[in-house]
Amino acid sequence: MHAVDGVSFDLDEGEALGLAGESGCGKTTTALSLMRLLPYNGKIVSGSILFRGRDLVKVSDLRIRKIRWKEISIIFQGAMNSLNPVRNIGQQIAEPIILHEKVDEDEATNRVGELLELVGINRDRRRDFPHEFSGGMRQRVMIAMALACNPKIVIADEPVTALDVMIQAQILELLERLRKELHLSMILISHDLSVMAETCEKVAIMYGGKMMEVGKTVDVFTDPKHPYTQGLVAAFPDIRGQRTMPASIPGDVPSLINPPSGCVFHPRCKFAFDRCTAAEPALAEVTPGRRAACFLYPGVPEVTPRPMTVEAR
Amino acid sequence: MARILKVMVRKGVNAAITIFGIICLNYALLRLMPGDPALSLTPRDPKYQGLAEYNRELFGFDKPPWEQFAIYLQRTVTLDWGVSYRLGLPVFDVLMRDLGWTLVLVGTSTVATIIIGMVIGSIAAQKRGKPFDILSTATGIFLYGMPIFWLGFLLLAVFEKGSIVGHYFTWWPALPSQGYYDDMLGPWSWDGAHLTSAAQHLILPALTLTLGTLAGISLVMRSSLIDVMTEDFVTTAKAKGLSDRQVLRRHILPSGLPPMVTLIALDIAFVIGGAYQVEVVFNYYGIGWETIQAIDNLDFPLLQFIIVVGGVAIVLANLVSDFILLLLDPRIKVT
Repeated sequence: MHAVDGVSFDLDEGEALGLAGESGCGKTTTALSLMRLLPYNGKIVSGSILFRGRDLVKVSDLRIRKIRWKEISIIFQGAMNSLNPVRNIGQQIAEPIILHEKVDEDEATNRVGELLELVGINRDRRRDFPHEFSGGMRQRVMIAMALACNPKIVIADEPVTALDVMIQAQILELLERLRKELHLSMILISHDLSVMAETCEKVAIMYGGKMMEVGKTVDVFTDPKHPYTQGLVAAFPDIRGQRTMPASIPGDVPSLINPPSGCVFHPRCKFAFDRCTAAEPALAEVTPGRRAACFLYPGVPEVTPRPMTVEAR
Repeated sequence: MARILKVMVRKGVNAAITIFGIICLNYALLRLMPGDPALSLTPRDPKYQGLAEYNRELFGFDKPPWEQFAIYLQRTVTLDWGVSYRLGLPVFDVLMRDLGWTLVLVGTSTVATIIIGMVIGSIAAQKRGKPFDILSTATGIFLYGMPIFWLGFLLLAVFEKGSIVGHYFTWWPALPSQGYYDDMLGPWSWDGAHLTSAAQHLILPALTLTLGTLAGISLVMRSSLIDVMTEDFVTTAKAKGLSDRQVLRRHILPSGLPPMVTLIALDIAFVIGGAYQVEVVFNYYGIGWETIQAIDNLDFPLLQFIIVVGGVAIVLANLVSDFILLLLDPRIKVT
């Protein structure tokens, strides 16, 4: 089964990219692939992940271990489960520092204190265990941990899901502030378009394990090209407008075990025509700076089975 | 530390109450059993009928039950556990002697089982679905499913002195199996001949016990580690750049061990109960063997304290495992 296929994007230094899409469309799998962290029953079949001129798909296990967290770190969705319940948070934050940098324990402890303060937690709480923190605080701990080795890229996989709206805003603000201060590149994964709109310069829309549209966030949301993106944007309620039910896209996300022929979105697409069932559209530039995978636009080629490519400069 | 102390005091009080309960229930249980011990001590011939009455009086069976109970309680506490009907020896002495040998047998095999089981279990968990995992799991279940006395008989048939295989191959091991050590050596003393003989006599029963119970540890170890391996924090640990070995040692094992602690503590408690089947098959005169003899002979004094000692061992083992869990898992709260 191909969970993710034909995904392609690039990320510049200091830039934030949003990965959006419905549940189960391959956002997390994409993120895990970037760090070669797929579970034991998954693997990257083909493609390349270029990080500073090096293909992460091909480097040795030892090399990738040195890149993990030092260069690319990740903030996982459920901070409760992503922190080890039986070790205190200080130990957990210090662990990558001691692993990747030649520092002694005092120095690491000091760094842990600074990191905790950076995310607004009292440094004296470093001996506390994850269960002694609230959900929002745990997410802050996770963020502090992700920043422990001054990484170049931080992947935030649904960092605010399962938090209440107030805390969501706090965490997003914190992430945004830290990103600007530390000049981080970030990949923000979310199914919440408003989160994307606020934080990301670029956004990539995923559906059924494939990338549907990539472009500047403002452009994509104001003038969506792909019918799926149009549906997503239409489904987004306007709080200033009239109180009506937002439009939804009829139908369900396709099964990836038995995907539809041609374009994965065609069964739910109101513009679908015969070519959509016969062939799969490739992600191609439809207007300058914008790529979409849809036959509605002239010049969009058909897919020959294509590798997964992610580039970072 | 205050947290741990507080929990321990409370658990200790609970354990004491439980032990008292065991002592009381044990009294009731044995009196409810069919059979008259005074009669069973008396030959069947009618001309010995007077002897039954004499025995009844001698052992206090003519006293009212509450008085018997009071005497029983008092003597339990003062370790005056009476005299075994069958052996005519003080129960306490008999139990201590048997316990010693049982500890040698079941203790050896339990330690071996725990160490080998945990190693096999953790390798199998790491190599999930690979040949080692499939082979060790299948073998483990095969041995675990086999009645342990049958496994004992098989090992006896193959490895005992005078076995059919040894008949054809002179290099084949010919191990002794009856008793603690070779009776020809005379009463026990701490010399080389006795120790060697005791070690040889230990091999077959200890091997039987170890093989038969290995899967109990290895399978639980395997599944509890696999449970932890799929946790999100293990992905976090890998994302940090730790090697598989570091992930296992620092993150998987500390979280996977708590279920093992309880299991191991109970295993150790059952050491005190002896291994009935194996001790009988190999005529290893430990607590298990003694229990069977006591039941056959309605040896009340011996039987009731075998039960008390076994019960107390389980309560204490639970107490110790609770204590270890408290140290291992910071999430356990004082309630």
